[in-house]
Amino acid sequence: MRAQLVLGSSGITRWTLASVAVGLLIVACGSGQAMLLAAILAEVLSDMTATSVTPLLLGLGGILVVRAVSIWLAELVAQACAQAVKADLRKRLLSHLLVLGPGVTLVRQTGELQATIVSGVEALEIYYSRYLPAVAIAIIGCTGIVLVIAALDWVSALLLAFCLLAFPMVDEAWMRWRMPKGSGVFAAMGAFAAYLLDSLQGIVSIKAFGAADARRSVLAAKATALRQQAMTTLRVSLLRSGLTSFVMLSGIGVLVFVNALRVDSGNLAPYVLLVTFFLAPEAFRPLSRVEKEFHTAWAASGAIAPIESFLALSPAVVEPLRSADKPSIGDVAFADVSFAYPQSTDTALSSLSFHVSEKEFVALVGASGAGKSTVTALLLRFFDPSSGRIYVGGVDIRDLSLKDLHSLVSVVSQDTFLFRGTIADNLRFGKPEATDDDLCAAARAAHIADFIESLPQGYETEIGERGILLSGGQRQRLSIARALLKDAPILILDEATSNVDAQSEKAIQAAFEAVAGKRTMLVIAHRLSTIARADRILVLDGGRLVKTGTPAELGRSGGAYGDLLAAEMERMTQ
Amino acid sequence: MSKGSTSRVDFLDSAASILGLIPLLKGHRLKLFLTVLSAICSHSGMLVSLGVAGWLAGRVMTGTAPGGLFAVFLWLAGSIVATAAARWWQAYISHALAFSVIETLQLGVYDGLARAAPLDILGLHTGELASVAISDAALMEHFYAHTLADYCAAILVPLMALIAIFYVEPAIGIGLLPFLFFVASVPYWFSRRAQRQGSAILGNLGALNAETVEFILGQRELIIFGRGQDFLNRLMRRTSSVSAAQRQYGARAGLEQALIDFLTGSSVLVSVFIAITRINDGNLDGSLLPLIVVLAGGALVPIVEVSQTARKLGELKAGARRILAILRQPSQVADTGKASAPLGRAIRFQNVTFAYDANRSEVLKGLDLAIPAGSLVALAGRSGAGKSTVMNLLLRFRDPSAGTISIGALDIRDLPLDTLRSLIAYVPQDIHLFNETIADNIRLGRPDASMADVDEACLMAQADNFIKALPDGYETMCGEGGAKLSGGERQRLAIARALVTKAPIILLDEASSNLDTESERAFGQVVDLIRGSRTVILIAHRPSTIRRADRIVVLQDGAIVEDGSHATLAAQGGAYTRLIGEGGQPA
Repeated sequence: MRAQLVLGSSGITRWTLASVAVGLLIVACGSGQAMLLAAILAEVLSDMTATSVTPLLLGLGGILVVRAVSIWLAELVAQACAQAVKADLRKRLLSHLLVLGPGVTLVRQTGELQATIVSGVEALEIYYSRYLPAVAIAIIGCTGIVLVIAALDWVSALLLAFCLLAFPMVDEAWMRWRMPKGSGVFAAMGAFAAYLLDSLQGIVSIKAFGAADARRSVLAAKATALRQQAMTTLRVSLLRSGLTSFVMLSGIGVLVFVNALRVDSGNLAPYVLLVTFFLAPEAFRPLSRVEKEFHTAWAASGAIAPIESFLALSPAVVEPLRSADKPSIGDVAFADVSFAYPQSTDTALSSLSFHVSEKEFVALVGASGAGKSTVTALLLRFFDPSSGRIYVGGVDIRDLSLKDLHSLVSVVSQDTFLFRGTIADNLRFGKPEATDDDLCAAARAAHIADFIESLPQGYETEIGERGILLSGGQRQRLSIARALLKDAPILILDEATSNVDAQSEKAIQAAFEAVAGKRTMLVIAHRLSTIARADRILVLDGGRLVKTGTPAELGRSGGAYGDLLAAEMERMTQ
Repeated sequence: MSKGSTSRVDFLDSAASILGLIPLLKGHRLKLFLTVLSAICSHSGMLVSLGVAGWLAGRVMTGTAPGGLFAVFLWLAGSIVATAAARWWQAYISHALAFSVIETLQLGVYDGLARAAPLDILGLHTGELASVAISDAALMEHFYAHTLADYCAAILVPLMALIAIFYVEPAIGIGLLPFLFFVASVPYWFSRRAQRQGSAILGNLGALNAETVEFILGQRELIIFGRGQDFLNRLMRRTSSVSAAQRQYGARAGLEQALIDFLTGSSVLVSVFIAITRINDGNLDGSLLPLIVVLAGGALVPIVEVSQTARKLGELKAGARRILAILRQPSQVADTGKASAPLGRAIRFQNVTFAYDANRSEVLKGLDLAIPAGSLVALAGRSGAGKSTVMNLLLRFRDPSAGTISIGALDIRDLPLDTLRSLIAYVPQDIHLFNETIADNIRLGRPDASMADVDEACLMAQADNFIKALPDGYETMCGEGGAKLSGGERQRLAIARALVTKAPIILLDEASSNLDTESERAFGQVVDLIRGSRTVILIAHRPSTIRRADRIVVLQDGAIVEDGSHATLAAQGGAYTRLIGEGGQPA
């Protein structure tokens, strides 16, 4: 596992060091406790009076208090370290996500990204706040205890050092040998759980198709096979927990027995026998903790690779070094633009050229896959064309800062995304400083004001996750209002293909009319009524511009537009 | 006072629901017993090994070394080897138990859900319940395979140590007794706070998850509207509330650990103090002092180990309840029919009344509906009107509370369930594709269907074009990480899955969510293609789909309010017109 992922940040290093310091204090307390206890017992057994051990007993009580406080402190420090790691890492991941832009969903699935940013970070934190300090504490603490014993008796120190070294080595060797097999079992268990989940989620279909018994037999057979395979592997793998306890217990046992012989023959002070006896378990304690934390850290190590590979993704577009001034007119031009999506060999656009004058209303039509949405994605600079140029107000959009470019364009997409919150929150999205009157005006223009005002809570109505409490038509009208409120000179509208109720359709048409002639409008159109209203129509097919003209011109010419018209007529008469 | 007594009731209550699962583990009693035994052996072995060492140290130091030191060595070595062996045995046998238990529980969950589907259990839809049930099964498995044995050891081993100490010196035994209870109860004192803090963490993490998904999905909007930085700050604020919740949780957990550690240490201190007093009085042999220290220090260890798990009791209780509820799901219908498949295909609902349970209102009220063989009938109506119930009853997921349903004049209760369901093919609204190949998914109802059959069904369902465009064609894996199929494509696969069974009756529950124009058109063409050759019952949401039917049955509150062709009903200007006028709002 690699530490450099976050350890660069000085705040985190400080907390990790603090964690180590407190951990060492706990080890020191444990050792002090063991030595005091040994001293008390040695005094009592050498026939001293009880009164002379009272200060020692009081000292022992004092250490108990210090130790308890340190244990509490250790947890607090570990938490502080964990939170620092999470805040740092999550901020980097989220900022990187913003830099990568929406194109990232082409290379990473939403679920994968979510897992990396939320649970990946939660898992990784353990590595920094628990595992790393535990390793440092074990190394320093064990060395310290061995040195203390060495000062009293080097034979005991050697014996203990030998067993202390054997403990992680046996553990490590065992893990190296068995881990691959153990991982195989875990993978098989995961696969079985996924199969079961899949079966449970599809249980209605299974039942309706009379496949329940057959599926159950497969499940039962898989479960039995998994159990047998797992137990064969585990029989050996699990020897590990026996082995490590054997190393620890025999270390203590040998130490006590050898020292007992030496005391019996008068070659060792009785106090040393007790000190070594009581200190030895304290020396093994940090090692067991590493062993325990190792498991959580090992589980977390799976989170490192996705986080690193995500951070290594480079953005599809880069900001210009020196950005041009924001243009004052809102015309759009594509000059010989070709483009293929990342991880795809098919060209989405080939040598596309067109011009939309300021305040012109242009409809973009074509079958699905013709490249209509790609035009939007490129104009917003979610990607750069592989060749050719795109101009807004005569300026190459690669020379504009992304912020300026985005401020020039408003978008209503087909699968528009609304955020959890109130209607007002969503409307203000593009213009946080908008007044209530602005909201009403935009809502009225999008023909959604009456609906909003009919709600008991009006503009303060919560619309639920992704606007789930609204119908498709209402969502689209709301997103039109949101786009209008932003007041950008260029408006891109991706018309919803279906399932918009008649009222919404009417409202959307009315909104078009309100905007037409006031802004540059590029509409990805599906409806004949929309297409008929446009100043000009661009027909795309397979990423190429195959026809352009006014509705009247194209209506006479047949061809691709004619096909579309025919399909649309069929749909409308159904 | 009242708080204390409620917690006790809670405790007994959780004990009852957790132990309620024990009868289900009938087949695993021996393994359970061995697991408990191995845990006791490994814990007590540890104590014995250290005890022998302590005894030896005491004897040597007081100059009363035992004669045969070699025998002591054998004792020491023996107990160490035995302890290590017991550790391994415990690990092995508890895993063996775990695998058996999880097998029983998981298959039990499958059976329970198979009996109950498609009905909700505990207010959860089967799909949602599935993942909950799997994690509950894992929780139960962990409890029975590991925690339970540790609990037994935590009760028995300290008691044994205490008895040994009591035997050596009763005063110390009595002095230790309160510590036993204190240490065991520390987590319990904090359990309420722990639970509250735990759910605060979960709540905040859930919100962080939801907001992160919004951030990812809404990225386009965030960027276009220039709000990315604001939203990032919001997520960072959420991260710090998760942190605050976790800090509180950690502070409490740390305090618990500190208290337990302090109590354990004090118990040794108290034992030493009493022992010294007794030695000075001449009532105790000094050579036993190291042994007493070792026993006093080790007696509490098994309790300390389990006390951390005590706060999970609440979670366990909830899990045990859900699992029990699933395992105890009764069969919804009795599969006692013996008749062979009827020749006729006409479907008839006669005076059918149905309520999902006695406390809920009736979903169907005396429904009479005759569907001649080969006709295409659309059921229309708002959500809750009873459309899905008609399909559920025809598939015999449930039986009507009154009235009869027949196919070809034969009461469907007289048919074996397999025969009944082989007559009907079902395309549900929520389509589940299994994480298998497309071909296997289509073969769900007819595993022996040939490739030619599959191909034919896909052709009819208009699914062949997109399947063949996939790099692996029919061998493409569906589901997670496999083909990213659109809603329309999934629906066409589900239709192919239904057609390949060649069942004479087809139930189509149209998806209410957005379908692209192409899929919508394909759906219409399939309906046209199969009409006449099979009986089709359609739950439709879109006016364009409803219009295709020969006959439209409009349901309202569990009864038929209108019945006729599109033209007739549209002319009436009644319920149907109102429904269509809503523009096919998702119902």
